[in-house]
Formats: sequence, C-alpha cells, structure tokens
Amino acid sequence: MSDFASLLVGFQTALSTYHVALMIGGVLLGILVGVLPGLGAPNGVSLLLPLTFSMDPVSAIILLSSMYWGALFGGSTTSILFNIPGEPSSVATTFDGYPMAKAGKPTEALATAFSAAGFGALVGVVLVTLLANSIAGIALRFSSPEYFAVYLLAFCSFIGMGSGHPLKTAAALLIGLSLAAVGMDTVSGEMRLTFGYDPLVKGVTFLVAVIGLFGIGEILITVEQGLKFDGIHAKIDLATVFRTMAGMPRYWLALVRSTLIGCWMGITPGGPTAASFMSYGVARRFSRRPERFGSGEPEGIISPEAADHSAGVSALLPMLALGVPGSATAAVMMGGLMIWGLQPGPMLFTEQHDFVWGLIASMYLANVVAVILVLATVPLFSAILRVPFSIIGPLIVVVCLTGAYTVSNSMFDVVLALIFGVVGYVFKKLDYPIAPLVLAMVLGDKAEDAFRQSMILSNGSLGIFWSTAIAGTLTTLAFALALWPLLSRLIGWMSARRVPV
Amino acid sequence: MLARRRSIELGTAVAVAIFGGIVATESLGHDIGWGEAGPGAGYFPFRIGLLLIAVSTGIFIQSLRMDRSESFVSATELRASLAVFLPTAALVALMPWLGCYVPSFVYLAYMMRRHGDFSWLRSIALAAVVMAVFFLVFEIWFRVPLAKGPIESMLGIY
Repeated sequence: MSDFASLLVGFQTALSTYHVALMIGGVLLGILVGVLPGLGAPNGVSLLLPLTFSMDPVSAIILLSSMYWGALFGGSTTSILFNIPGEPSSVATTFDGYPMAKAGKPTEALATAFSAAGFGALVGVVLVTLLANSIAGIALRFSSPEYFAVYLLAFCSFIGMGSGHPLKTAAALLIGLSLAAVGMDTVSGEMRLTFGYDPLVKGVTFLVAVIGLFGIGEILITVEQGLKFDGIHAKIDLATVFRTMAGMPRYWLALVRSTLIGCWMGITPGGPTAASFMSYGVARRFSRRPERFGSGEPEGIISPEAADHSAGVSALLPMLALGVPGSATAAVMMGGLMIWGLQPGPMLFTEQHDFVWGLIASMYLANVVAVILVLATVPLFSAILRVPFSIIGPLIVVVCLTGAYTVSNSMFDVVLALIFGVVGYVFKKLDYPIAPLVLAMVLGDKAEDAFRQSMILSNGSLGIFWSTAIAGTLTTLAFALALWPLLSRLIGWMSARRVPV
Repeated sequence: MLARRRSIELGTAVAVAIFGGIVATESLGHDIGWGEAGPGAGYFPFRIGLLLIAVSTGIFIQSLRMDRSESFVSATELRASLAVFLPTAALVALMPWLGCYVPSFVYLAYMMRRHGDFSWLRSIALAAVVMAVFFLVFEIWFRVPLAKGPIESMLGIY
C-alpha cells in the first residue's frame, strides 16, 4: 500500500468521534500541564500513561500525543503572557514574546507564536509521513550491530550536540544506563543491583524517574524562586489574529530555516529545547537588525516556536521507525508502546499498520485542534495562573506522588519519586541535563541486548560495529560526536596559537 | 550565601563517583567477562560503573577551578524549598500506612492554610473537593484504584 493510501486509512481511524474527543481532551490536558510551571510534557505524559493501560493502543497513543502537542502550545502561552516558560523548550520564546506582549501587543505575540508553531508542527508531520516508511524499510534490514550503533549515536549526539556540559551529559547518560540495569537481567535471569531488596527486582521504572526529576524537582526550584505571577491580560480578538496570520508569509525565510533546524534536532535526539535555542541564535546572527532582538522582534518569536514544534513532532519519526525516541517526551511515549505490548521499531510498520497510520493521521488533526483550542482558551488558562501558587504547587505535588503510585501500585515508587525529586533539584541547579538520563533509562536494556548479541555474533570482536557500511558509518559518527567537544576545543586552542592577538 | 556552588559541584561529582563505584562493585558478583552465552550479566554494568567514575573525576577536576563566590542556595531560598520539601517527605512517609487519600487531604489543607493564608474552613473544604475529584477520576472514571488505609475501611470505602 502506498503511503498516501495508508494515510487515508489512518484518517478513517483518527476521525472517529471517540478519537476526536480524545484529541480535544488530550490537547486541553496538555495545555494545562504546559501552562503550569513544574508540570511539563514529559511528566504530564508519564502521569497519564498508567491510566491508559487498559485502553486500545491507538486510542491511548492519540490521547498521549495530543497531550504532547497541547503542552508544547501551552508552554508558549505562559512564556509570552507571564515571562515564565511553562516548558523548558519555550524559554527562548520569552526573549521576544514577553517584550512584544508588554508593549501592548499580546494578541499579535500569541498569534505569531501559534502560527509559527503550527507551521513547524505541520511540516514535521509531513516529514514523518513521507520518511517514516522508507526509514523503517531500511531499518528492517538492521541486525544487532546496526541497532547498537543507532543507540550509541543517540547517546553520543546528546554529548556532541546538546547545549549542556559534555561531561555532565555523559554522567547523566551513564546514570540512566546504570538504573536501566537494575533488576532481572533479561539474558541470564540474574538479579542485578537489587542488593537483596525485593521492590528493586522489577527494576526502576523510568516513569517514576520522570515524575520525580521533572515534577517534584521542578516544584522545589519554582518555590525557591518565590514565584509571583505578574501576567499581561490578553483578550483575543479574531481580527488581530487573522491580520497577524496573514502577515506571516513575510517571514517565510525565518519559518523555513527554523523548521529545518527543528526537524533535524528532532530526528537526531537533540530535542525541542536545544532546537529552539539554536534556532533563536541562528535567527539573530543572520538578521539584518540583530539589535532589535530581545525587544519584541517577530522573528525572535517565530524562530524558537517553529523549531520547538517541528522538533517535537519529528521526534516521533525515529521513535516509530527505529525505536529511538528523539526527545524526553517521545521516550516516555515509547515506554508506553512497550507497556501496551507493541515493539517500537520497523516491525511496527508491517505488523501494526493501523496503529502507525492512525497516529500519523491524528498528528495532522490534533495540531490543528491544538492551534484553535489554545487560542480559544488563552483567557481561561491565564486565569488559572492567577490562582496562588500555594494551591497549585501542593496540588501538583499530590498529583505527581499519586501518579508515581499508579505506575505499578507500589508505595516504593512513591518514595523513589521523592528521591528522584531531590536529585532533580540538585541536577537542575548544577546544569546536569535530565533528558539524556531518561532516554538512557528507556533504551538501556535494548542497547545492552544489542551489544551482547553483537558480541556473540562476532565472538567478542568489537570489529563487528564496523563490519557493515551502515553500522560502521553510524559508529564512527557516534564517536566523532562524543569527541566533538574535545576536538572543537583543541581546534580553537590551535588556531588561537597560530593567530597572533 | 548558605552553600557555595563549587562545594556542591564537588560533592555531587563525588556522589556520582560513589554511585559508579557501587554499580561496578556489585557487577563483580556477576560474570563481568565472557560467560556461557556471550558477555556475562556483569559485563555491561561493570564498564558503565567504571566510565561513571572516570567521568565524575573529570567533572571534579573541572569544578576545582570554579569561582568560589557563586552561590548554590541562600538561607531564604533553602527555607522556601524546605517549607515544601519537609511536608512532602512527611506525606510520602505516611502514605504506606494511611493510603493515598487521607495524607494527601491533610497535606493540601495544611499547605493552603500555612502558605496560602486561607482560613481553616476554606483550606479544608478545598482539600476535600480536590480529593473527591481524585476519587471520581481514578476510582470511577479510569478504574485505577488508589491505596486506601484504615480510615477508609472504617468508613466502608474500598
């Protein structure tokens, strides 16, 4: 079946009344977690996941992915109206979004952000539609060495391309890999790192880690800053919205460039946060009026928003086709797939045809739904932020702890979530990145299995990772990325010596 | 300034190294080399543990050169976080004994009264409404039962 025919079948699945209702519900919940500081897309999806265990996988993924899109939009609303990024990926939107809103143009700022975001998201979905099948086709020929190379590349690209400190990124990855090893070894059945303690036998669930690291940790930091919400009142009038949207084509260059950056960062696991910062930086460097950045320049809103959303959407492409998620939220969703009994990766395209294309079709609809809903609900959600944090904060804590309990009805998980909360607080303040830790926890077992199987195939020779063209290219690229921070420093040092100052 | 960022950086690097040490040491109890079916159960974690020690040593050395004047947390900031953290820790400690509902209700009412300047009556009423919504969403709508304690069974709620 051609991709287009598959997509049409997908639309039949996605357009049922039940699924459209799930999209609306998911988007609204997503906007809510996106708006609330301390709750974001990764832990919003983690909290909702246990409630979907009994659902049909297509319906469950539509609900969770719609929540993701909603959260991406909700995060921008607070960035613009309150100067508080609801999501880490919308930090760059505050730079120009808030000044523009403060200068008496909140509707223009919001409409600019949402149209750019919607454009980025749609290009991302088109990319997923066009490429997913062919990438899955290539990946069908992969065996364990290629898979290990893909995982290695995912880990190393965090070190080489992430915005964080390379050694701290490496530490976060290794901690995630260690935590993934806790519990029963899938090959030998031996108990690893359990220290004879029964609750550890089933391992440390990444969902609990996400809830603690992103949720509780974030709350502790938020209260420390003594948050006071001083928002700008925005009444959305449709005439201004349409006028702003009609003016968007003027910024086609910024839109296209930011979307390309976003898609690239989403497919390679750089993630939406890195994408939005990179796109903002690039926009300022190439702008003819860089001095206006930071004071309400439309391109300063368009660039991070388009990149953020195209990265968020295209992060699902490697998750579906290769089983390697491109962002923390995609990692959580991939964990969900495994819990529902689906194996992410190329086989999904042959065995779970309806699931894959139902999801892809729902991504078109849900993003349109999200743009409309987020515009319609701006007054409602900015009213929620005026509720004192002394109510919202404790409420988020209770939701997080209850969510940790529902993952596997275990009180031990609740304690773990609190411990992860403290770790998240310290890591966040010391700039240890958290997304690589989560990705490593989700992929740890798969990476280890792929490694051990490759070793068996080759009788213990590491040369197997260079035995085929694909594996060799990926492995070499991975090492190059891991060593890139060191290399770039060396090059900088050498050129500084050569050029007399 | 209550704690220097540099001290916390160094302390965290040491903690990460100890964690790596624990992972590597525990792996020694398994086969860290070649077993009957390829690499043993300890092969992967042992090397991960060693890498963690190496990486955190690198972070430690880099942190030694850090500016000593940068603050990690001030007394006011720490007091604000502890005002949330300590009641939360108490909530986590009580949940295994009393279930999810009762401790969460007490926690919410306390936090609103203590930090939100609401009257006791309003705090309790709000917390009760929240818990009722929880009950509806989890137990009835999604059919995910939350833990219940002796007080619920006394009231006949299962």
